[in-house]
Amino acid sequence: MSFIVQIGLERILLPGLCSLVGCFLLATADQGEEWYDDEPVRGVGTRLFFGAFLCGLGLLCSDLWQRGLLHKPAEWSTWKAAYQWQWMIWIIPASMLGMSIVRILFAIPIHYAAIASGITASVASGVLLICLNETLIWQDQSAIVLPWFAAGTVAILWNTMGLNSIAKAAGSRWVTLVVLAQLGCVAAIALQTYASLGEWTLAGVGAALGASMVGLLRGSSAKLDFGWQLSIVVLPLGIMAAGCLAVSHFFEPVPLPLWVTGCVLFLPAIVGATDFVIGRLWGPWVRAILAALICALVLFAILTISKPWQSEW
Amino acid sequence: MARHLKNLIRPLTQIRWNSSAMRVVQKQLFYLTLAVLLGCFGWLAMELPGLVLAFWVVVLWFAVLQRPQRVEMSLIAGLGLIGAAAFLPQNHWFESNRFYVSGFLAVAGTPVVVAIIRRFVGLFSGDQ
Repeated sequence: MSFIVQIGLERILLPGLCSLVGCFLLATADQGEEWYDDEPVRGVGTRLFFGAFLCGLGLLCSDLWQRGLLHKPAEWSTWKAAYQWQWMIWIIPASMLGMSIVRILFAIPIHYAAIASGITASVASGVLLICLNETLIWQDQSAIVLPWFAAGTVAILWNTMGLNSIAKAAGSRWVTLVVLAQLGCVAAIALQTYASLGEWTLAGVGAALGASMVGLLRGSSAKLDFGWQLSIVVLPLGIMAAGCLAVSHFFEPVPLPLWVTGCVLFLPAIVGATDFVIGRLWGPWVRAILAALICALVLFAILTISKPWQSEW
Repeated sequence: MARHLKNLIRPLTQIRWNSSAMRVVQKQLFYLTLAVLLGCFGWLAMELPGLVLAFWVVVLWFAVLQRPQRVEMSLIAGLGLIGAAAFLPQNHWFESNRFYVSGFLAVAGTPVVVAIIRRFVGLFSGDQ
């Protein structure tokens, strides 16, 4: 099996298929137009739990397969993190599962919306704190740890607000594509700095691809923040994108201008703000095309400036 | 003497601590104490940059926890925090006392964690 096919199977196909099935379960847990914000939503717990579980399992199995541990359960205890960022492999699936459990426990949508932003902020800062906590290895780069920690946390919060804003304004069918574009941009940067990190980002691309396919077919009638069903999976993927981008700058970073890095880090927030300010004057197709245009421009800028086809990778 | 002391304490015994007004006062005292603690840890860990960071962290608390969420507050808090982290000299972040840095981070996360715990306590006590 060639290297490219192996990466395609391990990092795109497996998480993508798991995410496709998982997100289908999540999307069908939607109650439709009839549900009320202050009344408990019942009978969706199993779908929410197993949907998030499958999406997380896809990401985890992708890493175990890459390490050659997937078919050897006896050796799972030998799993080790060579760098702190590799703890993301456990934290991101765990946060998906955790969000689904919180969604099940807080059956009344307004109560879930109230707690979800606090949980997102905690997970965001926790992930960045763990990933950037390489005090010995990155001692010479200590000056940029705090700015990246602050920028990453704020970016995740703004990106979450942007994604929520799009989903609430009848854009839930294409909101996952924005996260997919962000992960694609991060993968284009990470693959040129540290292959292992790039491969992990590709697993996120696979999961986002599965979620996007389901999202396009079945939208959500969200009226509240975090009310769209796929947010349980998509928001942790957004946290993963910001975390991977932050970490990639500590391993021989690609010399990109600050504005391009900023655009990638804040891509969902930029798309959300543009959609909020000018997008809503037009119909859904124009809004989606405008968002796609912004994402394509950022990706084009990365590919043009960094010239990955000329790199050694 | 005892009567004098009793007269001094009496106003305190007459306060209805469970009233809605007193709950607001308790909440304000909680945030005020945490803000002072955060400022102290920030100062001890990084001196003036730590104090500036502490201010923006406090603004971010309210941006995250306030209901309904205020978009403009999140924008201001985010910009302030990134600006403070990027432009203030904090090269001694790694070299400073680990206890102070850990304390700063722990206090910075406390209000959000407490808000989450309070909601879970409310959930399991049937007061959702």
